[in-house]
Amino acid sequence: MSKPEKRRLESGKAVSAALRQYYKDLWENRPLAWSVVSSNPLNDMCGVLGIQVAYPENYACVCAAQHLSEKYCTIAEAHDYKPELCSYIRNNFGFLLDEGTEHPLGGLPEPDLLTTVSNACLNYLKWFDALRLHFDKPYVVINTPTRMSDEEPPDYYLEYMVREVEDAMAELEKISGNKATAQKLKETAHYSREQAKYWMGLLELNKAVPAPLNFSDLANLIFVPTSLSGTELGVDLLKQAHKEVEERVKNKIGAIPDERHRLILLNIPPWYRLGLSGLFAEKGCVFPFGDYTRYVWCTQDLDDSDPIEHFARKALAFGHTGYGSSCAETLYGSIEDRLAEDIKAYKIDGALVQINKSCKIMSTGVLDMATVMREKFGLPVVVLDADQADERFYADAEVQLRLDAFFEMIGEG
Amino acid sequence: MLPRIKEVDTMMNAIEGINQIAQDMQAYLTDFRNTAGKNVIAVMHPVVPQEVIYAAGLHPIRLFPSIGEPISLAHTNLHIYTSSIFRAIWDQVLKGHYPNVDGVVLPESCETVTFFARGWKWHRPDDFVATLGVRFKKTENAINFFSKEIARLAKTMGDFSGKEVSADSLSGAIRVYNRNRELLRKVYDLRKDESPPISGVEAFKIMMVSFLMDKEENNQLLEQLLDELQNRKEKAKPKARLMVSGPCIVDGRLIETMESSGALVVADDTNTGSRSFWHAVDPNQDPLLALARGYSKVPCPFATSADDRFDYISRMVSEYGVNGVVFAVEKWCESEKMDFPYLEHAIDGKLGVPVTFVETEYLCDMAPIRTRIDGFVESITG
Repeated sequence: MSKPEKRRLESGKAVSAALRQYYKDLWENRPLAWSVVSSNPLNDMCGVLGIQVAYPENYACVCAAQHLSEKYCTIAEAHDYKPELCSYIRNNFGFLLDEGTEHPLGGLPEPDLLTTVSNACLNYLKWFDALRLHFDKPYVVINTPTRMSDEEPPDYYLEYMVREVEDAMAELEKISGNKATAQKLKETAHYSREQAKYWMGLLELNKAVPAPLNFSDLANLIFVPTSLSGTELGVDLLKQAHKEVEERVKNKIGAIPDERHRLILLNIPPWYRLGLSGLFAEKGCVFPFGDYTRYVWCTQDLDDSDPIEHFARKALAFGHTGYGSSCAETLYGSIEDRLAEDIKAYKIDGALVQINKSCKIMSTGVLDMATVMREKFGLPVVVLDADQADERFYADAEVQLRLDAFFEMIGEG
Repeated sequence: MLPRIKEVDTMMNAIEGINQIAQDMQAYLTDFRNTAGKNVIAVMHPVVPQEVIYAAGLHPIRLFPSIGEPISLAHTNLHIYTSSIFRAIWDQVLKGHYPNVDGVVLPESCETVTFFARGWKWHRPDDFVATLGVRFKKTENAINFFSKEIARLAKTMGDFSGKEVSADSLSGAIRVYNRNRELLRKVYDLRKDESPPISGVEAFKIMMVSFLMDKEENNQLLEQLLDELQNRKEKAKPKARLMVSGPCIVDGRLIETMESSGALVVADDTNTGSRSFWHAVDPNQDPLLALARGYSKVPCPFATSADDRFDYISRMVSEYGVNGVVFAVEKWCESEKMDFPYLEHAIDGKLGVPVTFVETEYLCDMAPIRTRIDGFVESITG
């Protein structure tokens, strides 16, 4: 079978250029914070104070895509970072402990400070705590609460988060020696809100048939609302992408040439096998929807009239509507009604569910989601076991076997 | 039916009573529930202030799996990269093996517990599942938030039991629990002796029984135990003095295996050991804030930075004359594993105390662990 034509977004070129420039800027701008992606207001706040931000998580994806994570993970393991730890973390410590000097995109410069939130992943706290000890640098944390039940969170959640943001801002001001101006705060909160709106807009457009964006397009674009959070450039890039995708919808141009199946993708994809989406495209399968692109970032329209409250709400807004503030919200919180809505809205007719050894959080609940999709919604489901960055935990032959069976099920064998 | 503590007083000495309860914990709980008429609430991890449950007229216990039963049903819901201890608990919940438990409290803690709390409710909507937000940070803002979470938990418990948690009942509970922590610390203090009167296995059983018993009864038992231990015949000096560090060690065979080398486990930094009672709660403060301050000192890795853990461990190493630290860490417990590289270097480098690592699971094979420990003890003793 011939390989389907690749329909890359034109606006993706500008995003790639921004990414290259971003990695150059890391070496030129100081102070430099290492931080986490997620729905993280600290990244916006750093921008307000002229602090450049680097993301070891993103960098792990870059290393994985270049098939270097295995090397870095092995180095980390030799220093007793056990193989059961998240591969992003092992990749990060392996990179730090590597005695070689050749690294993808030139590597990451050493930070002047560490910052993190705890909304996406509990390990962020421990990982960056270990980095604090490694570098002996200041550590600024917004310790977001996890919403562990369906009950409406009490009012003190927001009060607590506002104070967390204020405290963190005071610490960042002290470290950077800069003062947050009202104008800069207002602008940044506005850009942060606009980016979330454009991101949600892209997801909304992807309900169209054929889907204008495949998972890989969204995974490339996610660089913008995370790494360029709260910037005018980020808004411009997403606006440009949004415009192009609108055109695609208007002209019924799909992300793949012959869309026959629309699948959900649950979990973080194996970054070292991004070619998997091409394999699915050959069988007429597109991924218009995934929990990674839909729920892991700030996908809410949050009022920006009070920038501090906007940042506090952003830290709490991880997930769906209301206070999500953790992956817990995205799993069992969405398993019935929300999943039904998404399946209907995105016209989903199958699912690829991944058990990810590294991300216990995104994997907790996916087995039940697979069962619900299969039994309640009657969808064909394939479950794969694959780490997000560590290739040693990915078996091509086994994956191929399962995919063959899945394609057989959907009439594409 | 096994005798409860009042009968233990007259029939046997305290250590025999503890052994008997440890042998069949379910029987103790059945008897307690029937006679005291209290609902039982099982809590995960030492970070949950059980005082609020006690003050609501409920009986708090710690939530552990029974040992020795293969995990089967739970694998439908929880993948194999989750904590095997929690998977075993969930497995036994599904199999109906907690007939005496009326509800659970799941704190924001390790990933599996935190992120499966909703899963529990989704699968078993009729179960009583309460949750509690726990902070990693120790700032005033974090302590205030934690105290509000504890207040919310107290309200939930009061609603469940029908007995409102008042400031007075909470203060009373804090007194009982402080006494319990004080007595357990006295028992642990005996292990500082060159020839400790109790073994690590006995200390483990004392702890497991204290997690189960009514705290006032347990206080009586511990007082009796302390009296009896004063007259206990001196034991031989151990070959090596070990400290064990790790999350929930629920299988006593692990401690037995360590001690079969001729070493003695004289101290620990585990969820089933000192982490559960090393903190005190100030009885003279506002009870909710006092609980928040006290429990924010529980050194579980998910809520504690690695250097604070090192301070905790190093104090213990020095006070208990430890000459080897064994990290016994559950395979999928990431927060414990995250701290290990730092702690290993700090303990070895700054304290000059050797460290070894053994990986554990709910059901684990003791033979390789024994080989590892034998070699470690040999390396310490020369």
